[in-house]
Amino acid sequence: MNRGGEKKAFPLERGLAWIVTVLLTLFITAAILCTLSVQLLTSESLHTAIATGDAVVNSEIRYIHEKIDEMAAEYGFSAERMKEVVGKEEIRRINRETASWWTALLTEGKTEEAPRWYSSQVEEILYETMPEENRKEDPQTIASDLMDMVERTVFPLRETLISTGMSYVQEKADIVSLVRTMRGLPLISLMCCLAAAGAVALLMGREIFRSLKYYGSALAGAGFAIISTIVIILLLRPAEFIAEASRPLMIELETVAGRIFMAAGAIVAILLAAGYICLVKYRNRKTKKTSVSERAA
Amino acid sequence: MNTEHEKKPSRGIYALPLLMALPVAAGMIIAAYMAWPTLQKLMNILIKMVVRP
Repeated sequence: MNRGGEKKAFPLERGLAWIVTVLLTLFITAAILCTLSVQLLTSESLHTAIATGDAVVNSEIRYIHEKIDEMAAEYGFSAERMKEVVGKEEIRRINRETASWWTALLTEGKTEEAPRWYSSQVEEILYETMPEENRKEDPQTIASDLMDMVERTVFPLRETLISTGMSYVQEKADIVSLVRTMRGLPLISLMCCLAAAGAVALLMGREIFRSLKYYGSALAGAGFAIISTIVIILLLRPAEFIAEASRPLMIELETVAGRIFMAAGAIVAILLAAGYICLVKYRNRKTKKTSVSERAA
Repeated sequence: MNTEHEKKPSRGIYALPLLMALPVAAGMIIAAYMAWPTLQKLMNILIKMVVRP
């Protein structure tokens, strides 16, 4: 019975509010997943930070040095001097160049030639440290193999094929406007969120505090939806194929996935906290109201 | 004085977010179940083409 001044929402309004809340949950989830995907695909700073980060550089250096040791054992050149040429800073520099080439290709469709690594010191070391009488292979061939191995470790994809493929895609579609649309997706989802939140507030009429129940459910619900998405992705184990195909690529992807999952984890924590704060506030407010009405009775 | 007659909300409201996440999660599971085999094949072809051995 409604004897007070405040009006209780009709069941129809409540039903509608719940439908809008499910949509709101969907929009919040979509906004966050879109933001993470857009960052993953188009952010040059993210790609550069990952490519030049210690985790990737150290694992690449370890792999390259292992290979140099193997080659030195086979051909008899000085592995230590070669390792000095292919040092940490050099790898970081190549990674930076490759990351900016890669993001320019993905976001602007720039099909320039991929950065190549060349060092005259490699050949010099080979000529100096390989005794001429024991040479199994031409030092120039070894130098070319070694530089190729470094390039392959830093960028384990066939860049010529990617460039050609991208040129073909560019003929069919406008990459720049496609990327611009993709970057706008999180904003569109956010606007849908605001519209849904506004609709809930309108449906609740003057009793704005009631909206807290719906907002809280949607925010924390989006948190749970993102957790379920991450769990599904992890269960499908897409990394298995990549690990089989290329170890260096796997290392880079693991770092990218780690960063993305950490960001997703932080967002989930914020969503769950915000959602449950709304629900606790709503319950406290409702409990106070009920106590007042009990005393009055 | 406010004389509204309403029950205290039970702690069950804290389970509402799970209920809201259910359609999204169910959608994801169905999409993954339906699309994953095709996606797997595509990924295999793409990786073999693009990744240097």
